Amino acid sequence: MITYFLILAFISIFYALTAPFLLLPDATLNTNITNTFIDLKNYLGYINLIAPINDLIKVIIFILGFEASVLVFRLIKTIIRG
Amino acid sequence: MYKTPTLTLNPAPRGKKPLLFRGFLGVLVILGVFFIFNYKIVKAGTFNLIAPDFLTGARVDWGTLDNWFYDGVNNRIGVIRGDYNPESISWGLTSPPAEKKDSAGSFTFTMYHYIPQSWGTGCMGFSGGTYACVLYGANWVTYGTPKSQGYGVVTLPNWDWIRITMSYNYHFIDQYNATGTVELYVYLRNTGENEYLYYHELITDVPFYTPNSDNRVYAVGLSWNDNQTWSTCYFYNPTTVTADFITGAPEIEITQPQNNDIILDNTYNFWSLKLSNLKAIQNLPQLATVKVNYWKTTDPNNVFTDETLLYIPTNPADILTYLDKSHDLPVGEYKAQAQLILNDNQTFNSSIITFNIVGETPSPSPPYPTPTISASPYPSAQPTLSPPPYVGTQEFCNEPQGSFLDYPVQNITYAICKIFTFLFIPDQEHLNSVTDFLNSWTNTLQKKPPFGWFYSIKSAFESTTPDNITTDYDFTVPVLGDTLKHALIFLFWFLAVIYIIIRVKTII
Repeated sequence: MITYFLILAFISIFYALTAPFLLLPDATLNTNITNTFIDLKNYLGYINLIAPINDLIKVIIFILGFEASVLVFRLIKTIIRG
Repeated sequence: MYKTPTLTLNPAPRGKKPLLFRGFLGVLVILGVFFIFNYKIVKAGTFNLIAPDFLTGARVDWGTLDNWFYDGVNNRIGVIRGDYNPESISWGLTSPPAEKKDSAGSFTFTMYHYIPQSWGTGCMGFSGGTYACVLYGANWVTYGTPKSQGYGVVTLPNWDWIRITMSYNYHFIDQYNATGTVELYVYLRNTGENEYLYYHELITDVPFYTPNSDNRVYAVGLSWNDNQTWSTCYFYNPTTVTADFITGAPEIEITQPQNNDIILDNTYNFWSLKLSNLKAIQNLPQLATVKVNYWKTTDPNNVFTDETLLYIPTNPADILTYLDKSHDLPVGEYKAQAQLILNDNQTFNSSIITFNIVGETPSPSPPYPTPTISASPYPSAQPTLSPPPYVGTQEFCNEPQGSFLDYPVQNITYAICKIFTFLFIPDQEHLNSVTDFLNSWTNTLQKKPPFGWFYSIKSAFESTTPDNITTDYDFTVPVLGDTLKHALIFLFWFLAVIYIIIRVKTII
Protein backbone atom coordinates (compact mmCIF):
# COMPACT_ATOMS: atom_id res chain seq x y z
CA MET A 1 0.00 0.00 0.00
CA ILE A 2 2.77 2.40 0.98
CA THR A 3 4.69 1.49 -2.15
CA TYR A 4 1.65 2.22 -4.24
CA PHE A 5 1.21 5.68 -2.77
CA LEU A 6 4.93 6.35 -3.04
CA ILE A 7 4.71 5.51 -6.72
CA LEU A 8 1.72 7.82 -7.05
CA ALA A 9 3.58 10.63 -5.32
CA PHE A 10 6.59 10.11 -7.53
CA ILE A 11 4.45 10.12 -10.67
CA SER A 12 2.57 13.19 -9.46
CA ILE A 13 5.78 15.20 -9.37
CA PHE A 14 6.51 14.40 -12.99
CA TYR A 15 2.90 14.92 -13.92
CA ALA A 16 2.95 18.38 -12.35
CA LEU A 17 6.13 19.20 -14.25
CA THR A 18 4.68 18.09 -17.57
CA ALA A 19 1.16 19.39 -17.02
CA PRO A 20 1.80 22.64 -18.95
CA PHE A 21 2.65 20.60 -22.03
CA LEU A 22 -0.70 18.86 -21.81
CA LEU A 23 -2.43 22.19 -22.24
CA LEU A 24 -0.84 22.65 -25.65
CA PRO A 25 -2.62 21.51 -28.80
CA ASP A 26 -1.43 18.35 -30.50
CA ALA A 27 1.74 18.79 -32.52
CA THR A 28 1.18 18.33 -36.22
CA LEU A 29 3.88 18.52 -38.78
CA ASN A 30 3.26 20.07 -42.11
CA THR A 31 2.38 17.37 -44.63
CA ASN A 32 5.29 18.34 -46.82
CA ILE A 33 7.71 17.81 -43.95
CA THR A 34 6.19 14.46 -43.11
CA ASN A 35 6.31 13.38 -46.74
CA THR A 36 9.91 14.53 -46.94
CA PHE A 37 10.88 12.24 -44.10
CA ILE A 38 8.92 9.38 -45.64
CA ASP A 39 10.69 9.94 -48.95
CA LEU A 40 14.03 10.19 -47.17
CA LYS A 41 13.38 6.87 -45.49
CA ASN A 42 12.48 5.32 -48.83
CA TYR A 43 15.56 6.64 -50.55
CA LEU A 44 17.80 5.47 -47.73
CA GLY A 45 16.10 2.10 -48.03
CA TYR A 46 16.99 1.94 -51.69
CA ILE A 47 20.60 2.90 -51.00
CA ASN A 48 20.74 0.27 -48.30
CA LEU A 49 20.07 -2.35 -50.96
CA ILE A 50 23.30 -1.35 -52.62
CA ALA A 51 25.53 -0.46 -49.68
CA PRO A 52 25.22 -0.91 -45.91
CA ILE A 53 24.03 2.63 -45.28
CA ASN A 54 22.06 1.45 -42.26
CA ASP A 55 25.21 0.47 -40.38
CA LEU A 56 26.96 3.65 -41.45
CA ILE A 57 24.18 5.68 -39.87
CA LYS A 58 24.46 3.60 -36.70
CA VAL A 59 28.20 4.32 -36.54
CA ILE A 60 27.63 8.04 -37.08
CA ILE A 61 25.01 8.12 -34.33
CA PHE A 62 27.38 6.19 -32.08
CA ILE A 63 30.16 8.72 -32.65
CA LEU A 64 27.83 11.67 -32.20
CA GLY A 65 26.60 10.13 -28.95
CA PHE A 66 30.16 9.74 -27.79
CA GLU A 67 30.94 13.36 -28.65
CA ALA A 68 27.87 14.46 -26.74
CA SER A 69 29.01 12.50 -23.70
CA VAL A 70 32.45 14.12 -23.99
CA LEU A 71 30.83 17.54 -23.97
CA VAL A 72 28.78 16.62 -20.90
CA PHE A 73 31.92 15.31 -19.22
CA ARG A 74 33.76 18.57 -19.92
CA LEU A 75 30.81 20.63 -18.77
CA ILE A 76 30.66 18.78 -15.46
CA LYS A 77 34.41 19.13 -15.08
CA THR A 78 34.18 22.88 -15.70
CA ILE A 79 31.36 23.27 -13.23
CA ILE A 80 33.25 21.39 -10.53
CA ARG A 81 36.43 23.37 -11.02
CA GLY A 82 34.52 26.63 -11.23
CA MET B 1 87.71 14.33 -24.25
CA TYR B 2 84.75 12.18 -23.64
CA LYS B 3 81.86 13.04 -25.85
CA THR B 4 78.45 12.29 -24.57
CA PRO B 5 76.65 10.07 -27.05
CA THR B 6 73.53 11.63 -28.38
CA LEU B 7 70.35 9.71 -28.70
CA THR B 8 68.30 10.62 -31.73
CA LEU B 9 64.67 9.82 -31.90
CA ASN B 10 62.98 9.53 -35.25
CA PRO B 11 59.29 9.62 -34.61
CA ALA B 12 57.01 8.54 -37.38
CA PRO B 13 55.73 11.47 -39.38
CA ARG B 14 52.52 12.78 -38.03
CA GLY B 15 49.49 11.63 -39.94
CA LYS B 16 51.11 8.55 -41.38
CA LYS B 17 48.93 5.48 -40.96
CA PRO B 18 50.25 2.51 -38.99
CA LEU B 19 51.45 -0.37 -41.10
CA LEU B 20 48.80 -2.74 -39.82
CA PHE B 21 46.04 -0.30 -40.64
CA ARG B 22 47.34 0.28 -44.15
CA GLY B 23 47.51 -3.45 -44.68
CA PHE B 24 43.95 -3.81 -43.55
CA LEU B 25 42.83 -1.13 -45.98
CA GLY B 26 44.74 -2.86 -48.75
CA VAL B 27 42.89 -6.12 -48.10
CA LEU B 28 39.60 -4.28 -48.20
CA VAL B 29 40.48 -2.69 -51.54
CA ILE B 30 41.30 -6.10 -52.97
CA LEU B 31 38.02 -7.46 -51.65
CA GLY B 32 36.24 -4.50 -53.16
CA VAL B 33 37.72 -5.14 -56.60
CA PHE B 34 36.41 -8.68 -56.49
CA PHE B 35 33.02 -8.02 -55.03
CA ILE B 36 31.91 -4.52 -55.87
CA PHE B 37 30.59 -5.51 -59.26
CA ASN B 38 28.75 -8.52 -57.98
CA TYR B 39 25.28 -8.16 -59.47
CA LYS B 40 22.48 -9.99 -57.75
CA ILE B 41 18.78 -10.44 -58.22
CA VAL B 42 17.10 -9.16 -55.12
CA LYS B 43 13.48 -9.25 -54.06
CA ALA B 44 12.63 -5.64 -53.80
CA GLY B 45 9.58 -5.93 -51.65
CA THR B 46 7.28 -2.99 -51.83
CA PHE B 47 8.12 -0.18 -54.13
CA ASN B 48 6.63 3.23 -54.15
CA LEU B 49 5.95 4.25 -57.63
CA ILE B 50 6.50 7.88 -58.30
CA ALA B 51 3.46 8.81 -60.26
CA PRO B 52 3.75 11.90 -62.37
CA ASP B 53 1.14 14.46 -61.67
CA PHE B 54 -0.58 13.82 -64.91
CA LEU B 55 -3.95 15.17 -63.98
CA THR B 56 -3.59 18.55 -62.47
CA GLY B 57 -7.07 19.86 -62.35
CA ALA B 58 -6.70 21.59 -65.64
CA ARG B 59 -8.14 20.73 -68.96
CA VAL B 60 -6.91 17.35 -70.06
CA ASP B 61 -4.54 17.34 -72.95
CA TRP B 62 -2.76 14.59 -74.75
CA GLY B 63 0.62 15.60 -73.46
CA THR B 64 -0.43 15.56 -69.84
CA LEU B 65 -1.68 12.02 -70.17
CA ASP B 66 1.49 10.60 -71.63
CA ASN B 67 3.83 9.97 -68.73
CA TRP B 68 6.13 7.25 -67.62
CA PHE B 69 5.85 5.42 -64.38
CA TYR B 70 9.07 5.05 -62.49
CA ASP B 71 9.88 2.53 -59.80
CA GLY B 72 11.68 4.92 -57.48
CA VAL B 73 15.19 4.15 -58.73
CA ASN B 74 14.78 5.69 -62.15
CA ASN B 75 13.78 2.51 -63.91
CA ARG B 76 10.94 3.00 -66.30
CA ILE B 77 8.41 0.28 -65.73
CA GLY B 78 5.60 1.43 -67.92
CA VAL B 79 3.93 4.36 -69.43
CA ILE B 80 0.68 5.95 -68.57
CA ARG B 81 -0.86 7.01 -71.78
CA GLY B 82 -4.12 8.53 -72.51
CA ASP B 83 -6.09 9.98 -75.28
CA TYR B 84 -9.22 11.84 -75.70
CA ASN B 85 -11.39 12.82 -78.52
CA PRO B 86 -14.85 14.17 -78.58
CA GLU B 87 -16.17 10.74 -77.82
CA SER B 88 -13.92 9.11 -75.31
CA ILE B 89 -11.06 9.41 -72.90
CA SER B 90 -8.96 6.53 -71.81
CA TRP B 91 -5.66 5.90 -70.14
CA GLY B 92 -3.74 3.07 -68.65
CA LEU B 93 -0.43 1.31 -68.39
CA THR B 94 1.19 0.25 -71.58
CA SER B 95 4.50 -0.62 -73.11
CA PRO B 96 6.49 -2.33 -70.39
CA PRO B 97 10.12 -1.55 -71.16
CA ALA B 98 12.15 -4.28 -72.74
CA GLU B 99 14.24 -4.75 -69.62
CA LYS B 100 11.15 -5.74 -67.67
CA LYS B 101 10.19 -8.61 -69.92
CA ASP B 102 11.58 -11.21 -67.58
CA SER B 103 9.52 -10.04 -64.66
CA ALA B 104 6.02 -9.98 -63.34
CA GLY B 105 4.19 -6.79 -62.66
CA SER B 106 1.40 -5.74 -60.45
CA PHE B 107 -0.20 -2.35 -60.39
CA THR B 108 -3.12 -0.71 -58.82
CA PHE B 109 -4.05 2.21 -60.91
CA THR B 110 -6.60 4.62 -59.59
CA MET B 111 -8.04 7.52 -61.44
CA TYR B 112 -10.55 10.09 -60.47
CA HIS B 113 -12.98 12.06 -62.46
CA TYR B 114 -14.63 15.12 -61.22
CA ILE B 115 -17.63 16.04 -63.21
CA PRO B 116 -18.92 19.47 -62.34
CA GLN B 117 -22.56 20.24 -62.04
CA SER B 118 -22.39 21.97 -65.38
CA TRP B 119 -21.52 18.69 -67.03
CA GLY B 120 -24.98 18.05 -68.25
CA THR B 121 -25.25 21.28 -70.18
CA GLY B 122 -21.81 22.63 -70.93
CA CYS B 123 -19.62 19.61 -71.34
CA MET B 124 -21.49 16.50 -72.19
CA GLY B 125 -25.03 15.83 -73.03
CA PHE B 126 -25.24 12.11 -72.26
CA SER B 127 -27.49 11.83 -75.19
CA GLY B 128 -26.08 8.52 -76.22
CA GLY B 129 -25.11 7.18 -72.82
CA THR B 130 -21.81 7.05 -70.99
CA TYR B 131 -19.72 3.97 -70.52
CA ALA B 132 -16.83 2.84 -68.40
CA CYS B 133 -14.93 0.09 -70.05
CA VAL B 134 -11.63 -1.68 -70.28
CA LEU B 135 -10.25 -1.22 -73.72
CA TYR B 136 -8.11 -3.51 -75.74
CA GLY B 137 -6.99 -3.96 -79.26
CA ALA B 138 -4.12 -3.49 -81.63
CA ASN B 139 -4.49 0.24 -81.47
CA TRP B 140 -3.79 2.12 -78.31
CA VAL B 141 -7.01 3.97 -78.02
CA THR B 142 -10.13 2.48 -79.32
CA TYR B 143 -11.83 5.32 -80.99
CA GLY B 144 -15.44 5.52 -81.72
CA THR B 145 -17.12 2.52 -80.22
CA PRO B 146 -15.14 1.07 -77.33
CA LYS B 147 -18.22 -0.76 -76.27
CA SER B 148 -17.74 -3.19 -79.06
CA GLN B 149 -14.09 -3.77 -78.30
CA GLY B 150 -13.93 -3.65 -74.55
CA TYR B 151 -14.30 -5.78 -71.53
CA GLY B 152 -16.40 -4.82 -68.63
CA VAL B 153 -18.53 -2.32 -70.40
CA VAL B 154 -21.00 -0.70 -68.11
CA THR B 155 -23.45 2.08 -68.69
CA LEU B 156 -23.18 4.85 -66.15
CA PRO B 157 -26.06 6.84 -64.81
CA ASN B 158 -25.90 10.55 -64.17
CA TRP B 159 -23.37 11.28 -61.46
CA ASP B 160 -21.21 14.01 -60.09
CA TRP B 161 -18.18 11.97 -59.18
CA ILE B 162 -16.70 8.80 -60.50
CA ARG B 163 -13.71 6.89 -59.23
CA ILE B 164 -12.34 4.10 -61.33
CA THR B 165 -9.79 1.70 -59.90
CA MET B 166 -8.06 -0.70 -62.18
CA SER B 167 -5.58 -3.30 -60.96
CA TYR B 168 -3.16 -4.90 -63.35
CA ASN B 169 -1.40 -8.15 -62.65
CA TYR B 170 0.62 -9.65 -65.40
CA HIS B 171 3.55 -11.92 -65.97
CA PHE B 172 5.49 -12.83 -69.04
CA ILE B 173 4.97 -16.30 -70.41
CA ASP B 174 8.03 -15.98 -72.57
CA GLN B 175 10.08 -13.18 -74.03
CA TYR B 176 7.25 -11.81 -76.10
CA ASN B 177 3.97 -12.71 -74.45
CA ALA B 178 2.46 -11.61 -71.19
CA THR B 179 -0.84 -12.55 -69.69
CA GLY B 180 -2.64 -11.51 -66.54
CA THR B 181 -5.77 -10.10 -65.03
CA VAL B 182 -7.54 -6.81 -64.88
CA GLU B 183 -9.83 -5.91 -62.03
CA LEU B 184 -12.12 -3.00 -62.51
CA TYR B 185 -14.04 -1.09 -59.85
CA VAL B 186 -16.31 1.82 -60.57
CA TYR B 187 -17.51 3.97 -57.69
CA LEU B 188 -20.08 6.67 -58.08
CA ARG B 189 -21.14 9.46 -55.85
CA ASN B 190 -23.37 12.43 -56.14
CA THR B 191 -22.46 15.58 -54.29
CA GLY B 192 -23.53 15.36 -50.69
CA GLU B 193 -24.03 11.61 -50.81
CA ASN B 194 -21.89 8.62 -49.91
CA GLU B 195 -19.81 6.88 -52.50
CA TYR B 196 -20.95 3.43 -53.48
CA LEU B 197 -19.54 0.60 -55.53
CA TYR B 198 -21.37 0.67 -58.79
CA TYR B 199 -19.51 -1.91 -60.80
CA HIS B 200 -16.89 -4.59 -60.28
CA GLU B 201 -15.46 -7.09 -62.68
CA LEU B 202 -12.44 -9.38 -62.68
CA ILE B 203 -11.20 -10.17 -66.15
CA THR B 204 -8.74 -13.04 -66.36
CA ASP B 205 -6.39 -14.36 -69.03
CA VAL B 206 -5.96 -11.00 -70.61
CA PRO B 207 -3.18 -10.96 -73.23
CA PHE B 208 -1.32 -7.92 -72.03
CA TYR B 209 1.62 -7.97 -74.30
CA THR B 210 1.99 -9.65 -77.63
CA PRO B 211 4.62 -9.14 -80.32
CA ASN B 212 2.05 -8.15 -82.91
CA SER B 213 0.04 -5.68 -80.92
CA ASP B 214 2.36 -2.71 -81.15
CA ASN B 215 3.12 -3.07 -77.45
CA ARG B 216 -0.37 -2.10 -76.53
CA VAL B 217 -1.71 -3.12 -73.22
CA TYR B 218 -4.97 -2.34 -71.60
CA ALA B 219 -6.56 0.84 -70.56
CA VAL B 220 -9.60 1.91 -68.70
CA GLY B 221 -11.72 4.60 -70.08
CA LEU B 222 -14.89 6.47 -70.36
CA SER B 223 -16.75 6.81 -73.53
CA TRP B 224 -19.81 8.64 -74.59
CA ASN B 225 -21.65 9.21 -77.75
CA ASP B 226 -21.86 12.91 -77.96
CA ASN B 227 -19.71 15.32 -79.89
CA GLN B 228 -19.35 18.03 -77.33
CA THR B 229 -16.31 20.05 -76.44
CA TRP B 230 -14.08 19.60 -73.40
CA SER B 231 -14.05 23.19 -72.37
CA THR B 232 -15.68 22.68 -69.00
CA CYS B 233 -14.53 19.15 -68.17
CA TYR B 234 -11.96 18.88 -65.45
CA PHE B 235 -9.95 15.98 -64.16
CA TYR B 236 -8.17 16.05 -60.87
CA ASN B 237 -5.21 14.13 -59.65
CA PRO B 238 -5.92 11.50 -57.00
CA THR B 239 -4.46 13.38 -54.07
CA THR B 240 -6.73 16.27 -54.75
CA VAL B 241 -9.89 14.29 -54.70
CA THR B 242 -9.38 11.37 -52.37
CA ALA B 243 -9.94 13.26 -49.17
CA ASP B 244 -13.35 14.20 -50.38
CA PHE B 245 -14.63 10.66 -50.60
CA ILE B 246 -16.67 9.37 -47.75
CA THR B 247 -16.82 5.62 -47.82
CA GLY B 248 -18.26 4.64 -44.46
CA ALA B 249 -16.77 4.34 -40.98
CA PRO B 250 -13.22 3.34 -40.03
CA GLU B 251 -12.82 -0.24 -38.95
CA ILE B 252 -10.37 -1.89 -36.62
CA GLU B 253 -9.87 -5.61 -36.46
CA ILE B 254 -7.69 -7.91 -34.39
CA THR B 255 -5.95 -10.14 -36.90
CA GLN B 256 -3.66 -11.80 -34.39
CA PRO B 257 -4.55 -13.75 -32.34
CA GLN B 258 -7.54 -14.85 -34.29
CA ASN B 259 -10.81 -15.82 -32.75
CA ASN B 260 -10.62 -19.12 -30.81
CA ASP B 261 -6.86 -19.35 -31.24
CA ILE B 262 -4.94 -21.54 -28.79
CA ILE B 263 -1.55 -19.98 -28.26
CA LEU B 264 1.41 -19.77 -25.96
CA ASP B 265 1.85 -16.62 -23.95
CA ASN B 266 4.37 -14.11 -25.24
CA THR B 267 4.67 -10.37 -25.34
CA TYR B 268 6.52 -9.16 -28.43
CA ASN B 269 4.19 -8.21 -31.29
CA PHE B 270 1.45 -10.23 -29.66
CA TRP B 271 -1.35 -8.14 -31.14
CA SER B 272 -1.78 -7.57 -34.82
CA LEU B 273 -4.35 -4.95 -35.74
CA LYS B 274 -5.74 -4.02 -39.10
CA LEU B 275 -7.17 -0.56 -39.63
CA SER B 276 -9.23 0.06 -42.71
CA ASN B 277 -11.49 2.64 -44.20
CA LEU B 278 -9.70 5.49 -42.45
CA LYS B 279 -10.37 7.76 -45.37
CA ALA B 280 -13.96 7.92 -44.22
CA ILE B 281 -12.93 10.39 -41.54
CA GLN B 282 -12.50 13.95 -42.58
CA ASN B 283 -9.75 15.93 -40.83
CA LEU B 284 -7.86 12.81 -39.86
CA PRO B 285 -5.30 13.47 -37.12
CA GLN B 286 -1.70 12.57 -37.78
CA LEU B 287 -1.54 10.48 -34.62
CA ALA B 288 -4.21 8.11 -33.42
CA THR B 289 -4.39 5.98 -30.33
CA VAL B 290 -4.73 2.26 -30.81
CA LYS B 291 -5.72 0.28 -27.76
CA VAL B 292 -6.38 -3.36 -26.94
CA ASN B 293 -8.44 -4.25 -23.89
CA TYR B 294 -8.30 -7.85 -22.78
CA TRP B 295 -9.55 -9.77 -19.82
CA LYS B 296 -9.92 -13.26 -18.51
CA THR B 297 -13.30 -14.68 -19.39
CA THR B 298 -13.88 -15.64 -15.78
CA ASP B 299 -12.78 -12.24 -14.47
CA PRO B 300 -14.24 -9.55 -16.75
CA ASN B 301 -13.74 -6.80 -14.17
CA ASN B 302 -9.96 -7.02 -14.28
CA VAL B 303 -9.23 -5.51 -17.69
CA PHE B 304 -5.69 -5.15 -19.01
CA THR B 305 -4.88 -2.52 -21.57
CA ASP B 306 -2.11 -2.11 -24.10
CA GLU B 307 -1.99 0.97 -26.24
CA THR B 308 0.23 2.89 -28.56
CA LEU B 309 0.22 5.87 -30.82
CA LEU B 310 -0.03 5.28 -34.52
CA TYR B 311 1.00 7.59 -37.31
CA ILE B 312 -1.77 8.13 -39.82
CA PRO B 313 -0.46 9.18 -43.22
CA THR B 314 -2.30 11.46 -45.55
CA ASN B 315 -4.82 9.60 -47.65
CA PRO B 316 -4.28 6.35 -45.76
CA ALA B 317 -4.85 2.90 -47.16
CA ASP B 318 -5.31 -0.11 -44.90
CA ILE B 319 -2.79 -0.14 -42.07
CA LEU B 320 -1.47 -3.26 -40.39
CA THR B 321 0.27 -2.61 -37.11
CA TYR B 322 1.63 -4.67 -34.24
CA LEU B 323 1.48 -4.09 -30.56
CA ASP B 324 3.35 -5.67 -27.68
CA LYS B 325 1.42 -7.22 -24.84
CA SER B 326 2.52 -5.71 -21.56
CA HIS B 327 0.92 -8.18 -19.17
CA ASP B 328 1.86 -11.80 -18.72
CA LEU B 329 -1.18 -14.02 -18.87
CA PRO B 330 -1.70 -17.22 -16.93
CA VAL B 331 -3.16 -20.20 -18.68
CA GLY B 332 -6.83 -19.71 -19.42
CA GLU B 333 -9.42 -18.29 -21.77
CA TYR B 334 -9.35 -14.58 -22.57
CA LYS B 335 -11.33 -12.08 -24.55
CA ALA B 336 -9.95 -9.03 -26.33
CA GLN B 337 -11.31 -5.98 -28.07
CA ALA B 338 -9.35 -3.35 -29.98
CA GLN B 339 -10.15 0.35 -30.06
CA LEU B 340 -9.18 3.09 -32.45
CA ILE B 341 -9.38 6.56 -30.92
CA LEU B 342 -9.24 9.57 -33.22
CA ASN B 343 -9.11 13.17 -32.11
CA ASP B 344 -9.60 12.00 -28.50
CA ASN B 345 -13.34 11.81 -28.99
CA GLN B 346 -14.05 9.38 -31.80
CA THR B 347 -13.76 5.75 -30.73
CA PHE B 348 -14.20 2.77 -32.98
CA ASN B 349 -14.32 -0.72 -31.51
CA SER B 350 -13.47 -4.04 -33.05
CA SER B 351 -15.48 -7.17 -32.50
CA ILE B 352 -14.56 -9.15 -29.39
CA ILE B 353 -12.39 -12.18 -29.97
CA THR B 354 -11.72 -15.13 -27.69
CA PHE B 355 -8.36 -16.84 -27.38
CA ASN B 356 -6.83 -19.41 -25.08
CA ILE B 357 -3.42 -19.17 -23.47
CA VAL B 358 -1.85 -22.56 -22.90
CA GLY B 359 1.33 -23.62 -21.19
CA GLU B 360 3.96 -25.92 -22.58
CA THR B 361 2.81 -29.51 -22.81
CA PRO B 362 4.85 -31.65 -20.41
CA SER B 363 6.72 -34.59 -21.80
CA PRO B 364 4.70 -37.80 -21.36
CA SER B 365 7.77 -39.98 -20.86
CA PRO B 366 8.51 -41.59 -18.51
CA PRO B 367 5.01 -42.69 -17.54
CA TYR B 368 3.64 -41.25 -14.37
CA PRO B 369 3.18 -43.78 -11.59
CA THR B 370 -0.41 -44.69 -10.98
CA PRO B 371 -1.84 -46.91 -8.33
CA THR B 372 -4.57 -48.18 -10.58
CA ILE B 373 -4.08 -50.61 -13.40
CA SER B 374 -4.45 -48.84 -16.67
CA ALA B 375 -4.26 -50.03 -20.24
CA SER B 376 -2.12 -47.05 -21.12
CA PRO B 377 1.09 -46.20 -19.35
CA TYR B 378 0.24 -42.50 -19.75
CA PRO B 379 -2.13 -40.59 -17.54
CA SER B 380 -5.63 -40.30 -18.91
CA ALA B 381 -5.76 -36.57 -18.31
CA GLN B 382 -3.10 -34.03 -18.99
CA PRO B 383 -1.83 -32.55 -15.74
CA THR B 384 -2.90 -28.96 -15.30
CA LEU B 385 -0.14 -26.43 -14.96
CA SER B 386 -0.32 -23.94 -12.20
CA PRO B 387 0.34 -20.35 -13.28
CA PRO B 388 3.62 -18.78 -12.31
CA PRO B 389 3.56 -16.41 -9.36
CA TYR B 390 2.73 -12.77 -10.06
CA VAL B 391 3.32 -9.65 -8.10
CA GLY B 392 0.45 -9.09 -5.75
CA THR B 393 -0.73 -12.65 -5.88
CA GLN B 394 2.31 -14.51 -4.69
CA GLU B 395 2.18 -15.69 -1.11
CA PHE B 396 5.45 -14.57 0.42
CA CYS B 397 4.70 -15.58 4.00
CA ASN B 398 4.87 -19.09 5.33
CA GLU B 399 1.70 -19.84 7.17
CA PRO B 400 2.35 -21.50 10.55
CA GLN B 401 1.19 -25.04 10.92
CA GLY B 402 -0.62 -24.51 14.21
CA SER B 403 -2.36 -21.99 16.41
CA PHE B 404 -0.72 -19.03 18.14
CA LEU B 405 -0.33 -20.90 21.42
CA ASP B 406 1.39 -23.82 19.74
CA TYR B 407 3.63 -21.75 17.44
CA PRO B 408 3.84 -18.19 18.85
CA VAL B 409 7.04 -17.11 17.11
CA GLN B 410 5.95 -18.44 13.72
CA ASN B 411 2.56 -16.78 14.09
CA ILE B 412 4.08 -13.42 15.02
CA THR B 413 6.52 -13.71 12.14
CA TYR B 414 3.65 -14.55 9.84
CA ALA B 415 1.63 -11.56 11.04
CA ILE B 416 4.56 -9.15 10.54
CA CYS B 417 5.22 -10.64 7.15
CA LYS B 418 1.57 -10.13 6.16
CA ILE B 419 1.67 -6.52 7.37
CA PHE B 420 4.80 -5.73 5.39
CA THR B 421 3.47 -7.49 2.33
CA PHE B 422 0.30 -5.42 2.54
CA LEU B 423 2.25 -2.20 3.01
CA PHE B 424 5.05 -2.55 0.50
CA ILE B 425 3.98 -4.98 -2.20
CA PRO B 426 1.25 -3.49 -4.36
CA ASP B 427 -1.37 -5.83 -5.66
CA GLN B 428 -1.99 -6.47 -9.30
CA GLU B 429 -4.99 -4.16 -9.48
CA HIS B 430 -2.97 -1.19 -8.27
CA LEU B 431 -0.10 -2.02 -10.58
CA ASN B 432 -2.52 -2.22 -13.50
CA SER B 433 -3.99 1.16 -12.67
CA VAL B 434 -0.51 2.70 -12.48
CA THR B 435 0.51 1.06 -15.74
CA ASP B 436 -2.64 2.22 -17.50
CA PHE B 437 -2.19 5.75 -16.20
CA LEU B 438 1.44 5.83 -17.32
CA ASN B 439 0.51 4.54 -20.76
CA SER B 440 -2.26 7.10 -21.13
CA TRP B 441 -0.10 9.91 -19.82
CA THR B 442 2.91 9.15 -22.02
CA ASN B 443 0.72 8.68 -25.07
CA THR B 444 -0.90 12.05 -24.48
CA LEU B 445 2.45 13.67 -23.84
CA GLN B 446 3.87 12.20 -27.03
CA LYS B 447 1.32 14.15 -29.03
CA LYS B 448 2.21 17.50 -27.48
CA PRO B 449 4.95 19.81 -28.69
CA PRO B 450 7.89 19.55 -28.66
CA PHE B 451 7.75 15.79 -28.13
CA GLY B 452 5.02 15.38 -30.73
CA TRP B 453 7.22 16.74 -33.50
CA PHE B 454 9.96 14.24 -32.81
CA TYR B 455 7.44 11.46 -32.51
CA SER B 456 5.81 12.46 -35.80
CA ILE B 457 9.17 12.35 -37.53
CA LYS B 458 9.93 8.99 -35.96
CA SER B 459 6.55 7.65 -36.99
CA ALA B 460 6.99 8.99 -40.51
CA PHE B 461 10.30 7.18 -40.71
CA GLU B 462 8.70 3.96 -39.58
CA SER B 463 5.74 4.21 -41.87
CA THR B 464 5.30 3.36 -45.47
CA THR B 465 3.57 5.45 -48.07
CA PRO B 466 0.27 3.78 -48.69
CA ASP B 467 -0.96 6.73 -50.67
CA ASN B 468 1.51 5.90 -53.39
CA ILE B 469 1.00 3.01 -55.70
CA THR B 470 2.96 -0.05 -54.63
CA THR B 471 4.00 -3.22 -56.30
CA ASP B 472 6.22 -6.24 -55.80
CA TYR B 473 8.53 -7.55 -58.44
CA ASP B 474 12.04 -8.75 -59.05
CA PHE B 475 14.57 -6.44 -60.53
CA THR B 476 18.28 -6.29 -61.05
CA VAL B 477 20.44 -3.79 -59.26
CA PRO B 478 24.14 -3.73 -58.62
CA VAL B 479 24.44 -4.71 -54.99
CA LEU B 480 27.52 -5.33 -52.99
CA GLY B 481 28.39 -8.93 -52.28
CA ASP B 482 27.77 -10.13 -48.75
CA THR B 483 31.48 -10.49 -48.11
CA LEU B 484 32.21 -6.90 -49.01
CA LYS B 485 29.13 -5.72 -47.14
CA HIS B 486 30.31 -7.42 -43.98
CA ALA B 487 33.79 -6.07 -44.57
CA LEU B 488 32.42 -2.55 -44.93
CA ILE B 489 30.34 -2.91 -41.78
CA PHE B 490 33.40 -4.15 -39.94
CA LEU B 491 35.41 -1.26 -41.37
CA PHE B 492 32.83 1.28 -40.19
CA TRP B 493 32.91 -0.01 -36.65
CA PHE B 494 36.67 -0.47 -36.70
CA LEU B 495 37.15 3.17 -37.71
CA ALA B 496 34.67 4.24 -35.05
CA VAL B 497 36.63 2.41 -32.37
CA ILE B 498 39.91 3.86 -33.64
CA TYR B 499 38.36 7.32 -33.61
CA ILE B 500 37.16 6.91 -30.05
CA ILE B 501 40.53 5.60 -28.84
CA ILE B 502 42.27 8.63 -30.37
CA ARG B 503 39.59 10.92 -28.98
CA VAL B 504 39.93 9.51 -25.48
CA LYS B 505 43.70 10.04 -25.65
CA THR B 506 43.18 13.71 -26.50
CA ILE B 507 40.77 14.11 -23.59
CA ILE B 508 43.11 12.50 -21.10
